[in-house]
Amino acid sequence: MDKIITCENITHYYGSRLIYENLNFEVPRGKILGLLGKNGTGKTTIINILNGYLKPRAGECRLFGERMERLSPQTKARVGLLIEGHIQHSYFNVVQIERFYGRFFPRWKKDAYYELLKKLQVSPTQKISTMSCGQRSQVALGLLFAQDPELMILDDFSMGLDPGYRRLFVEYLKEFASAEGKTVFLTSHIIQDMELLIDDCIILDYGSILLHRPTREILDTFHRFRFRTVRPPAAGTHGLLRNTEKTGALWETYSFLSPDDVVRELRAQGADPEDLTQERLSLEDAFIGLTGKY
Amino acid sequence: MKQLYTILLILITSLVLSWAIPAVVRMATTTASRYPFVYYSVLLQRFLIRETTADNKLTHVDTDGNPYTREQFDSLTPLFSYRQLMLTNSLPDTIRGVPVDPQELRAKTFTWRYNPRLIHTPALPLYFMYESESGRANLEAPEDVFRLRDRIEFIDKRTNTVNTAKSALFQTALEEAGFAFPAQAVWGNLSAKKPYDIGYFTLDSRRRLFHLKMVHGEPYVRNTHAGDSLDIVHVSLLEVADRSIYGILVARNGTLHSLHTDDGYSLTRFDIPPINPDAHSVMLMANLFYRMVHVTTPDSLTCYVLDAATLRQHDRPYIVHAAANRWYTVARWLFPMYLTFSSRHSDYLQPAFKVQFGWSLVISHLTFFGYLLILRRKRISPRHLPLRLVNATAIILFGVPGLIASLLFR
Amino acid sequence: MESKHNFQRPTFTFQLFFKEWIKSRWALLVTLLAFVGIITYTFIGMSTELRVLGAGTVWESIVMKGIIYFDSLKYLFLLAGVLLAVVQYTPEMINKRLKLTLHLPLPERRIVLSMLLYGLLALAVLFLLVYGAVRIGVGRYYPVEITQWNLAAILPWLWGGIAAYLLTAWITIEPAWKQRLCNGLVALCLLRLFYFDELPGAYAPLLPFLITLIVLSVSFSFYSIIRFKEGV
Repeated sequence: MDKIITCENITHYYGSRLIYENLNFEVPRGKILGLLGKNGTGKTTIINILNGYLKPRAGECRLFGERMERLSPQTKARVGLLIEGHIQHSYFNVVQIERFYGRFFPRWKKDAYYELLKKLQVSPTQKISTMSCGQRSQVALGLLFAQDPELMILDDFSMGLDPGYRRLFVEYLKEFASAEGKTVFLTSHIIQDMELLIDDCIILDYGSILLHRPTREILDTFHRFRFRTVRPPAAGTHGLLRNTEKTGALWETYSFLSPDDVVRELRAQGADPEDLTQERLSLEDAFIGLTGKY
Repeated sequence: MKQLYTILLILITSLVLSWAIPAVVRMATTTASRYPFVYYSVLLQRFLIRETTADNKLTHVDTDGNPYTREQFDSLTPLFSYRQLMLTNSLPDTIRGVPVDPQELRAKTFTWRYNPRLIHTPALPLYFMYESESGRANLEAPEDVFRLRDRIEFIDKRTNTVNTAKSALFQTALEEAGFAFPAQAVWGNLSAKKPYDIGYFTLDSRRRLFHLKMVHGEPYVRNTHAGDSLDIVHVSLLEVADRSIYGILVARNGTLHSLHTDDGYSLTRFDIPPINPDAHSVMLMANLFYRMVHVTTPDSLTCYVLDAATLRQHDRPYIVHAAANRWYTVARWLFPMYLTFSSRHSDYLQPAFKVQFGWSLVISHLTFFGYLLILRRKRISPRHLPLRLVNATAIILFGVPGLIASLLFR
Repeated sequence: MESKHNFQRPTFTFQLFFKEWIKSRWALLVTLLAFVGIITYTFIGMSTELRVLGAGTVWESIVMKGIIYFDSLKYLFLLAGVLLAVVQYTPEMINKRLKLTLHLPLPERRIVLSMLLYGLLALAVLFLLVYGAVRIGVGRYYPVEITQWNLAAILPWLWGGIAAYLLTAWITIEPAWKQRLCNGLVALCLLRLFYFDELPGAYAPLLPFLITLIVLSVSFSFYSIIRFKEGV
């Protein structure tokens, strides 16, 4: 299988603060991969390293086999970039920006751009800087679709968007990605949207990758368990039980284990669980279960 | 590539700071290096020195250090202080057996200054041709200006057009006198505030010196032949009151000559060692008896006294050495090499390195090793060798400016 | 597909010029108007002076004192350079839009050189217009020597404007504020070299060195770009 993105042994610090050490991951062709993590775990940092706008202390990333800081023009044409906040050259108007980008890309699809823009209440001569955040996101997305890249890297696409625009964005993205061989690498802080969208999931913890698995697998195997107990188990994350805590009269814990194994694990920790129930989780709940609330 | 850009930045920053920082330090440390006023006393037959002390008082001494009061100084230098002496009615009737009167003293007194800027300055090459014998007490500004290079042309001020008739008249006169165009230099006094007009002296393309003026509206051109034996770099026209000389010539080899108003434009050489016309300044103070020539070099002032008639040395010269300037002391420690753009000897801006290796070089070497210590160990790798060599060169040669540049761009 | 698409095509430079033009057209217009205003004002003053004082007096003071007319242009060249660089590169730095620009499918060096080239060409056109206007205007009233005297006075200021453009670009693209400040101080020292109060023509021996320096300072922006890419 083609590897579109490879990152090897990325280590980075800001000053003396460690962001990650020896981070490794790969993204194969045709996947939509979501990068999840709490604030400050370095999602944007990874995106910056991937694009070649940040030199890590050690390690290297490759896009289409080329080193990130020295992408050839051909490869740059194959990569679509969405910067945090849907940033674009906002001194252009709607028509100018299409004309500007259009000549650069070999597979430019002008219609894709204007089709998306039809939905917006903007005049062709309106400057992008005068648009709302949602409208700007559609312009940025329209330009990405017109570019028709093989790989899209989207940094926090949901930032500042109301639910309508967010849904619109996700739907278009889904449609785009369903085409042959498109790869998407994205981050978002609104995890709800991603459940419908992403094939694979990387969950970042402080300093390392906590988890890198297919989304489906996480949703099918990662559960919340509620139970009663007189003797308390170890709170927090121990062994295969994550974020065990007391909420009201009940205790809860999260785990990939089967209910029987959870009971066994709890007993091993000194608890005496009763009335154990298993719940299926949304991606957001699973994320919280894995990383904790704070 | 980054290394190359860094090297360029360090080099250029070092260069500009090696001008800027010394310039600021110089402003902060320089001390006035004024020489005392030295005048030859006709009565004592020795030099008198007037100096302003630190608390702004005047002192007067002779070359042996004997002190004098201000009044004594005045009466010992009647050729200099005659106006003061007239005021107190103490001007003698005769000096060294020669009867004197104030009018004659004034007519024989003039000063002339030369400094290298006179020959190193951009000039606007347009001139006024006055009527030399207008019969009027005051010179009248002409209606035109003229240029003299590939040819002579008079340009009318009101219409900004060439006066062809007048131009042709002067052009013909110059050609008939054997003047070879293009002119190499033109010297004259443009000011109308002078007692009379001498016109211009000009070098032709073969460096012969011609005299050019306008008499009753007609051109007057003569080859002075002064250029036959001398390579002239400067001519000062003096318009002195007694009309004895046209002015003073400075030759490339550093000799000074007065150009006399006799028919043959004869020259008399000043009996002093040659100066360096590109670096030395001269002040001439002339009076009834003497020509005092003060030659200022970067480290001393030499005062010669010559007989007015013969320009031979009348007495042994008196030498004053320059006081040490704090700036030079500071610079010797701080800057092995620094850059200047302006010079006291030229109106042109020209980059020039001042080199003064000595203790500063030892200090700058130490500075460089200090810099290596600041760098983290891993930054001293063979890959960075070119950059480190540039760091070394910049810090060792320029001192502090090189260090700052090396710290700014890593 | 890629083989047909030649990433060295000159049209791409014009596309980049288009972006720079959109950013800078108003600033260029304002600069042009400022130059036109000051030059017109100077020429009106010049002809008034000739009319009121008379050609004799005015010519005399010019020939004897070397008076020049365009002192008021002195720092306008500098401001023009700074303004153009600010309007071109500040929008690139706001929200790090430069990431988008550098991501265009062209070699990075070509992208940056095109942007700098645009600015240099714009200034060259502007300054040549000014130079031509002074030449023609002064030439109407005065002989060529006086015209050249005035042009010689303007020349170092004009190059100073070019230097100011390149140095401001360098400072603006620099990503870290502390370094930006240091760059600014170095730039001030460098720009000072173009603005000594000297006689017109005094710069003749120095100007070739200053122009060499300007050429070399094109590379400064690349140092900033590398730092931007390293995410300093």
